[in-house]
Amino acid sequence: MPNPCKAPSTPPASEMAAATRRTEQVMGTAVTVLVPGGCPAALFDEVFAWFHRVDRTFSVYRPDSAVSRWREFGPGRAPALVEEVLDRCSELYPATDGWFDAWPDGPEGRVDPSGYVKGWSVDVAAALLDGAGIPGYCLAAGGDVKVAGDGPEGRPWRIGIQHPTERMAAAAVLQGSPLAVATSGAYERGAHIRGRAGSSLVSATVAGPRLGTADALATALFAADGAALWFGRFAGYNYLTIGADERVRWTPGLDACLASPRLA
Amino acid sequence: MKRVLTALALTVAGLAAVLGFKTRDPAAASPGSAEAAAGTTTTAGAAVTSPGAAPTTTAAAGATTTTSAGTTATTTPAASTATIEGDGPVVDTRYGPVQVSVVVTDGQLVDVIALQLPSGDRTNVGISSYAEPLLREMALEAQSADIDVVSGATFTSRAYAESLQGALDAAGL
Repeated sequence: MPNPCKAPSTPPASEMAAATRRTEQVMGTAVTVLVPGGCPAALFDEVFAWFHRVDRTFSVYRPDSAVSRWREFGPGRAPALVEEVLDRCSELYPATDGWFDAWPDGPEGRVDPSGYVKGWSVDVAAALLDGAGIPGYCLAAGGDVKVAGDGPEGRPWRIGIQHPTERMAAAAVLQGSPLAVATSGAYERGAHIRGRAGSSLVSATVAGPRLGTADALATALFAADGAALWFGRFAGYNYLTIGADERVRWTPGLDACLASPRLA
Repeated sequence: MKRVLTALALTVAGLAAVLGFKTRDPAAASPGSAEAAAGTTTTAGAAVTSPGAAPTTTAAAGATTTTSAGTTATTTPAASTATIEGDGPVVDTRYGPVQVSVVVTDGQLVDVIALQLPSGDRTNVGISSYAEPLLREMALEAQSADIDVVSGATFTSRAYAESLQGALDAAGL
C-alpha cells in the first residue's frame, strides 16, 4: 500500500479558460469541487449529476429512493449500486468489531448506509475526474474531503482539521496526495447526542486512500471512543483524535501527513 | 463488545500499573515544547477557501487573529528515560484471541501493539509516536497555514448522525 501522504510531483496546472470551482446543495449537505487548473463545464455537470443520482438512490428521506424501498419491502431488485454499498457496509461491520453498523435496528431491521455513502460517492466522483485527466482537484462534501494532485498555485492541498471548540480555527493541518480525510465529532451536532455522557473524545479524524472507508472508520472510531484495536486492520489509514481533556492522539503513520511546522 | 474493551482496558491498565506507568500532569507541555502560549487562535474562516475565479490569487477567507492569554506552560522533567515493553495476556473474544503489548517511555504509554488480533495480523495500532500534545499547542502550529479546505463533523446530514446513534445504541452506550 503506497503511503498516500507522499505527494507525487505533478506538473503545474496549465492555464485553462474554464471554471475552477462549483458548489451545490446535494445529499443533505454542501458539496464543493475545486479544480485549480480549470474544469470544463460538462465535467462539472457530470460530477454533480452523479451526486444527485446518489441522493435519489440512497436518501433515507426520499420515500421513492432505492434504499427507502429496500427498507420498506426488502432487497427485491435492488440496483447494483445499492448492492455494492451494502456489501461494503457488511464487510465494515465485523472489520470494526461492530462499531460501524449500517443496521442499527439489528440484522432484520432497516438498513441505513448513510455513514458510508457520502464518502463513497466522493470516491466515485474522484474517479470521474481522474478518468478525465484532471491533474489536481479537491472534493469536499459536508466536512469530508478528498484531494489529489496539486492545489492552488501548484502547492500541495492543505486540509485543516476543524478545531472542536474554536469555530474559526484548525486543530491541525494535513497534506498529501491523493488523500481522503473524514471527521466525526459531537461539536457540530450539539452536546445532546444520546449516550455521549462521559465520552472522552470530541472528534475523530481518519485519513487514508478511500473516503468511504475513512468516513465509516471515523464514525466507528468516535462511537468506540477511540478504543480501537481493530483500526490496525485497515492498512494505509491513520487517525487523529481530540479528547475532551484536550489530548491529541494520532497513529504514527500520520506523521508524514501532518503539515503543522513543529509536528512535521 | 463492551466486555472485550473492558478486558483490554484492564489489561493495559494492569500492565501500566506493573510497569509504573504514570499519568502525565495535564498542565505539563509535551517534551520539546519549551513554552506554549495558552491562548486561542483563529484562522481562515470559510469551510472552503479557494482562489475562486482568479486562479493566480490565493484568497484567505476571514482575517487571522490571535488572542493570547499570556500564560506559559512549563515542561516537566521526565522521571526516567527508559523504554519498557510489556506483553498482556491473551484475551479470548467472540472474534478470536486478542493480545496486546504496551510500550512505556519516560513513564508514558506511547504505543499499543496488537500481537494477536482476530484477523491474525500482527499490527501496530499505535497511539502516537510522540508524547501527546495539548490541542492548544497543535492549534498554535496550525494557525499560520494556508488552508484550502476543512474536515469537520457536520450536522447537516441527519442520517449521518442517526447512523452514529445506531452504532451507539448497538454498543449499549
